Amino acid sequence: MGERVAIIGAGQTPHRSRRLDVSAPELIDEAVQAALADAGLEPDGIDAIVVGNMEHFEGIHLSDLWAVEGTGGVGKPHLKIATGGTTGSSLAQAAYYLVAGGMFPTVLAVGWERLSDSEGETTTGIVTAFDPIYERPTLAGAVSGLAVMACQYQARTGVRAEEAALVVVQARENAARNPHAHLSKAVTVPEVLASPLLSSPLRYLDMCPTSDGACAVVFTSRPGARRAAWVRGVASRHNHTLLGDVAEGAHDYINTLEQAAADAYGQAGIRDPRREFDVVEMYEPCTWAALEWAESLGLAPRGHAAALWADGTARRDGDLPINPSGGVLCANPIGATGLVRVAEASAQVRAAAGPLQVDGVRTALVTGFGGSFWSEVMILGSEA
Amino acid sequence: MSDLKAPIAVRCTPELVYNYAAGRYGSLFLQGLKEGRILASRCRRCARTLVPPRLACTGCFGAMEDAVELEPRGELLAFTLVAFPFLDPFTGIQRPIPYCYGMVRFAGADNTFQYFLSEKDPAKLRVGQPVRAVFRAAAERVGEMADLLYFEPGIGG
Amino acid sequence: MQPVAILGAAQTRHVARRDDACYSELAFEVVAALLAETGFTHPRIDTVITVSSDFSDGRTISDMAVQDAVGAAGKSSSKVSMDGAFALAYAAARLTCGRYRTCLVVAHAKASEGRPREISRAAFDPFFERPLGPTDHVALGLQARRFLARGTVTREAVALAAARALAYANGNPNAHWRGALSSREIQLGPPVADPLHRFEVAPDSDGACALLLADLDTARAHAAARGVPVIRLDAVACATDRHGLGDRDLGLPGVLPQVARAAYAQAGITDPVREIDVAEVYDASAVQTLLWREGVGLPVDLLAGPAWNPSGGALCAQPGFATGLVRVAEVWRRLAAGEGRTGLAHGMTGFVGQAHCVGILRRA
Repeated sequence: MGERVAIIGAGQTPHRSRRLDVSAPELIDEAVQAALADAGLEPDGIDAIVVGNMEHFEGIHLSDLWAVEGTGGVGKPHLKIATGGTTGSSLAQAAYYLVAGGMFPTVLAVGWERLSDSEGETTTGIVTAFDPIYERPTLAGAVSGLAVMACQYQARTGVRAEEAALVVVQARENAARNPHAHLSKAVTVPEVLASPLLSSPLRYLDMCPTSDGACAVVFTSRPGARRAAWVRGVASRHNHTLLGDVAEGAHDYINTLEQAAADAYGQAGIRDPRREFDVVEMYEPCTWAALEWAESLGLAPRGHAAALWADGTARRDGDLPINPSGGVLCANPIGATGLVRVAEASAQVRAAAGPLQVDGVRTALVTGFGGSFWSEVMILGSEA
Repeated sequence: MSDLKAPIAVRCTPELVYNYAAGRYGSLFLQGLKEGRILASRCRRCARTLVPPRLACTGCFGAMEDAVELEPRGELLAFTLVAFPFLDPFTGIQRPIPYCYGMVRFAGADNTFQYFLSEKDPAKLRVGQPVRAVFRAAAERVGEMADLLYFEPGIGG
Repeated sequence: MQPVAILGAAQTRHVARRDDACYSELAFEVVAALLAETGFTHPRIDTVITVSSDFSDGRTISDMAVQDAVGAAGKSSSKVSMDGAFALAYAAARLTCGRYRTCLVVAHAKASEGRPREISRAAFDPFFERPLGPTDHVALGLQARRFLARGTVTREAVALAAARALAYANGNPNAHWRGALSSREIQLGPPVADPLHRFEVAPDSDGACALLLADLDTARAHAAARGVPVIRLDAVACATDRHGLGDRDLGLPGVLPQVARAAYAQAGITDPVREIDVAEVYDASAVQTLLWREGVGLPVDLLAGPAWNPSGGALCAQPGFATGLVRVAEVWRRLAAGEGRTGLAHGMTGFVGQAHCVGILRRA
């Protein structure tokens, strides 16, 4: 079997609405230097790099080649991975496989995006992910795709908008402690319900922002004496091409997450996810998604995830903290977003999360979301 | 280096043009719309019926070889009212808002089909409602998606 | 790396336009052909790596367009957004870690649906290079000038390499360009990017390619059951060069010698001239046909050492990111047919070799 893989360092830029003070390679360099410092490595300690962003957002083709000055990749092997919203988690998985498969001892995963470079037209770019004939005429990017999911969730469960709104209220409370977060101003349930309608039932404050930012994470089979977060489960499940095929199973919109979670839980020996995880960093692109995802992950019974936020379970001081970083609702540099989840969760396991640290984290659950509702799951633990 | 006092952004507005092939199955579907028909593909191996039609069966990965015509009616499984402005990548200008679209399961299909709804008030729509497809007048149909105007609430809605 | 095996390879014919097929239909064509060839069924495909370019497809998350067509729904899949040869490294790692037994790698491209020159402009540095209006062809012309200025190879030799590629392609049913032109006729042909003329610059093709990789145990059982040889992938090495056209001498092979040395070391090759029987490289120009030869440590004389781009190379078919995977498929086909024991397949990302990948295949 393969090498055991540990995360020994991570770095992020502050995620902001516009980082006009740096070019893309300079932005990437900030995250890479922070990750190297956190791992206690010099650049020559990195054997290979996996790098990704979604190049339509910046209009830079072959962006991995242009980014090489920032990643430190000159003269080194690199792979570019680009899978939409999952890009960051796909980078983490690729880095894991390259180390586990014995291709390289130490791999740096680097994700980045500068959504401000497309002048706020993120939705325009996302629409082009979908079928030019059948889907682009109707789709309004991730916003309306998620709105359709939320419509079905609402119809199925009867959960009300004010219950979903609690997810972002708590996310902002958490983000207030996170210097990297893009949005950290407190919001209230009435403010969420009064925010502009984007695509029913989603309102402005239900939806994640668009950010500029970068993230880098070091994976290795040779952690030495460094504090390590061990990768104990890795799984992904992909989905049909057309959203009309994804929506087939109306009882459970994102069955890919349930399938990926079951696979990863099996690898890590997780039987009772609600009790066994100490912290969760999930890729929740909107408030409603957090509810659906929590149920798919087995953290709450179907139709009852809202209780996790209503009764304080999901708070950073609760029984199962969910997104103590503030999550995707508070920072979303798309090509980095999934990798930020891995960075945050690994810092929790390594007891290196600073002001975000949750007490006594031994096992953490990380998810990625993207494309046509496909899912990636990684489980990190303090023991190999 | 000295502190950056006046950061500069360079604007770039390239025009990239694409001509997407509809392929065998897409061309079949668009030709069907021109004739006022909804065409689906059916799998000989696992009997799945999918609209729009396509080559690879989502159930068994076989090649879907049979085309079948569906009744232009179905059930509304989800819907949304899009109310925020964004540039339409097809035209480069803002898409007219608000508009409503939904996921419709055609009678006889195993998947759902995403398209516009005539009703623009989500309060008047409900999951599970019957809907029917409305086409352009025959003389105006040219073999494009817009030949299908929208779904409207059907009898019993 | 621990060796893995390549059980089969399939490609479309590479042509200027495939109006009859959308991306997903093109991808399904090669996957269905590969499954038929190998006798594998969809449930026996454990994991999938797709290869495509979002800019080239005019579609962000371009892998989503082919998820059903490659049978990835319900499985674990990922996308390498580079030339397809690089995907071998990821596919091999998914096998050598012990998680999966088989990995399907599929690359597709349709140059006809976009405008390759306009798309290529977006790959240049937006601040310092784009204002000059370069395209991939301009970069190839600059590289040719630098290469010829070294004086090691004549202008005539470059045209001869192109003429030779066309002649080789006459024996390749999948080639986009074929022909019988002399080096003189090529030099009198229409200029494409000074000093390069038509047929000295690779065409823009529509096409797809798929490979099935497996761990060695699965490969041995497959080979025994079907009476075919095991073709191993003994090495994959890659590295990245500087990006800017002015940041290095384009007339030199850059990081390719380092990549080739790493691949030879992994595969235990000490004398590439004698040990390699067939080599397929991604030559976007006839200059690269010669320059990459130098890069992998072979003599300038095209008749010395291994068969060099016997398919006609990228010079006769260039289906975007599928081009490097086609190189692997061509080497695989020749080894499987008994035309040699050891082969080298090369892929490239970036028009003038900003990143190189070298794989070594061996018939067991």
